[in-house]
Amino acid sequence: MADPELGREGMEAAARAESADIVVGIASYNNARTIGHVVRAVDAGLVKYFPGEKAIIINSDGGSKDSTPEEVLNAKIDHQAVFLSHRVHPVNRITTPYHGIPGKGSAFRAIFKMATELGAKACCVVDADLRSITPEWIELLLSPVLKEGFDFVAPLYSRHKYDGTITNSIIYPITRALYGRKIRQPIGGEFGFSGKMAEFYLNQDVWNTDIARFGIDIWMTTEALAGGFKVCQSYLGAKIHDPKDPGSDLKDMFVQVVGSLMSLTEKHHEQWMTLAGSTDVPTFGFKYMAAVVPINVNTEGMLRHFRIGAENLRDLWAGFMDKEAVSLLVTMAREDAPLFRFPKEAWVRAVYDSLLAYHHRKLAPEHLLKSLIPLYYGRTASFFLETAEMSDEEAESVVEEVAAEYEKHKNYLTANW
Amino acid sequence: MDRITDQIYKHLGTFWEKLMEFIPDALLIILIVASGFIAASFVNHIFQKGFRAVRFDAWSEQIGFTTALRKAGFSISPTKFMGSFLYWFVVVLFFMAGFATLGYEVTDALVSVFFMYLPRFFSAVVIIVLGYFIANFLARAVLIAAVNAGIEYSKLVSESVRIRHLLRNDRPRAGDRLRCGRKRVR
Repeated sequence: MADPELGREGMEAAARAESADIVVGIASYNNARTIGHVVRAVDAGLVKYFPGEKAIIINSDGGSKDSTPEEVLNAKIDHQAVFLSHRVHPVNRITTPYHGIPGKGSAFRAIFKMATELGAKACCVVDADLRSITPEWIELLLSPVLKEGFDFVAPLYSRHKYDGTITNSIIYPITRALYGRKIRQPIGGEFGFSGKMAEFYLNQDVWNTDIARFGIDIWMTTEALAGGFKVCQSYLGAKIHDPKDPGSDLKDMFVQVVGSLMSLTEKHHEQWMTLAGSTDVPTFGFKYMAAVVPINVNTEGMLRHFRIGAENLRDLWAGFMDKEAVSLLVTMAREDAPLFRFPKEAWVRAVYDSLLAYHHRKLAPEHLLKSLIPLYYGRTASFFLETAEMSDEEAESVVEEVAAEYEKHKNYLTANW
Repeated sequence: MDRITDQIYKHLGTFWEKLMEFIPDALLIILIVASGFIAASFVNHIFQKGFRAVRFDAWSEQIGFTTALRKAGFSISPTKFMGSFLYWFVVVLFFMAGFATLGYEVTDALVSVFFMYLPRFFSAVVIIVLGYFIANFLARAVLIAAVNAGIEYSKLVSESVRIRHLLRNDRPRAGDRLRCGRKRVR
C-alpha cells in the first residue's frame, strides 16, 4: 500500500535500501540547472568525511517539469578530486516525488519519513538551488550530530547585508528574544538533525498548514528550541543561491513564514513567557572572510509600498496598534527617501502588537499578516538607507541592535499576552 | 341632592367593580412581567457565558462587529451587547404574552401584529447583520490586496466593493417570499 508521505516509489526505494546511518535530503522543484552541483558536493562530502557510514541521498521532488530527477541520478563525482582513496559503502541516491500540499515542508516530510524508516542516526537537508555548497558543508551539518551528540544544527552563513531581510528584521530577533538562544539563521534552509529529531518532526500534525510550505524552516528551528533539544550552529561560509529582490517576490514567503512564526509563538507561549535574555549556542566551523554576491534592491519601490500602506491601512493598523504609533507611521511615510527612517523602537513595537493581535484574534490571520507587508517594506527600506554606506559587518551590528531591542521590550509582549 | 348622591354611589360602585375585575389582571401582568425580568436575566447570563466560551468578542473584533458597535455609539463589549439585546427581547416577549392573556381586543391586535412580524424582523436582522459582516470582510480583503498590489487609491476600491455588496444585500430579489404565520407575504 502507498504511504501517505512517500508514495509507492518512495516506499519501494526505502525497502531496497533497508537501512542507512546518514540521510541527506534535497527538496527540489525545477532545479535542473543547479541540483547536479549540489548532489556532487553532498556525495563528495559523504565520501570524504563519513567513509565508514552507510549514506543515502534522497531527492524529494515536487513534480519538476525539467530534468531535475535525472540530474540527481546522473551527477558524477571524481573521487580522486576530493582525495578519496577508500570507501566502505557507496552512496545510494533515491529520487522520489513527495505527496501532500506542494511545498518544501511536504518534501521534508518525505525525507523525515524515509530517515525514520531507514533508522538513520544523522540527517541533513540542503537547498537544491545552492551554488556555493562544498563537501565541507556536509561535514559541518552532520558531525555535530554524529560526534557531539547534538539534535539540531542550524546553518550560519556570510550573507550580503541586503540578503535575508525577513530573517534579519523579524525571524532572527523574535526567535532569539522568545527562546533565548542566538541562532542567527533560523530559516537558513540547510539543517542537520538527529534520527530522533527526524522522528519527532514526522510525528507532528502540521502537514496541512503553511508549515508544509515555506513555514517548514522556522518550524524545525522553533520545535528544536521549544522542545529542549540540543541545538548548535555551524558556519558554512557564503550562501550563494538564486537571489531574490526583497521588494519583488517575497510577499507569499513573508505571509507563510511570519504566519508560522506567529502560530508557533501561540503554541509555545508557556515556554517563552518565563525566559529573559539570550545566550549563544555552540558554533562549529572555521569563520573566514567570504565574498558574497551583492544584491540590488529597489528601495524607492519599497518606500512607495509603505506610503500606500500608511495612507490606506492606518485605520486597520489602529485596530491593533496605539493611535500614537499609527500617527508616527503616517508621519514617517511623508519623509523623502534619503531622510526616511523607521526607528527600531517603532518596528519592534509594531511586530509585538501584531503578535498580540494574532493571539487575541483582533483580525483574521490572513488580513493581519498581509497588512504587515507594507510595514515590513518600510522597515526594510529604512535598513537599506541606514546601512547604504556600511560594510556587511557594520550592517550586521545594526541587525544585532534590533535584536537587542526585541529582547529589551519582551516584557511588553509578556505583559499583554 | 339625593339623586346626585345616588349617581355618585352608583358610579363609585361601578368603578369599584371594574377595579376589582382589573386587579387580578394587573396582578397577573405584574407577575408575568416580573417572571419576564427573571427569565431575561437568566437568558442574558447563559448567553453571555456561552458567548465568552466561544470567544465571541474576539470573533466580533475580527469581522468588524466591535468597530460597528463603537461607530454606533456603544462602548460595551459585543458579548454584553448581545446579552442586553436578548434580555430586553425576552422582557418584551413576556410583556406581550402578559397582554395576550387578558384577551382584550386592543391588546390582542397589538400582540398578534407583534408575533406576526417577529419572523420577518429576525430574518431582516440576520440578513442585514450577515451582509454587513460579509461586506466588511470583503472590503478589508480588497483593501489589503490593493495596497499590496501598489494601488494608490486602495480605499476607494475597497469602499466601492463594500457599498456594492451592501446594496446587493439590501435589495430584495425577485421572487423572494417570507412566510409569516399562516399568511404568505410577497
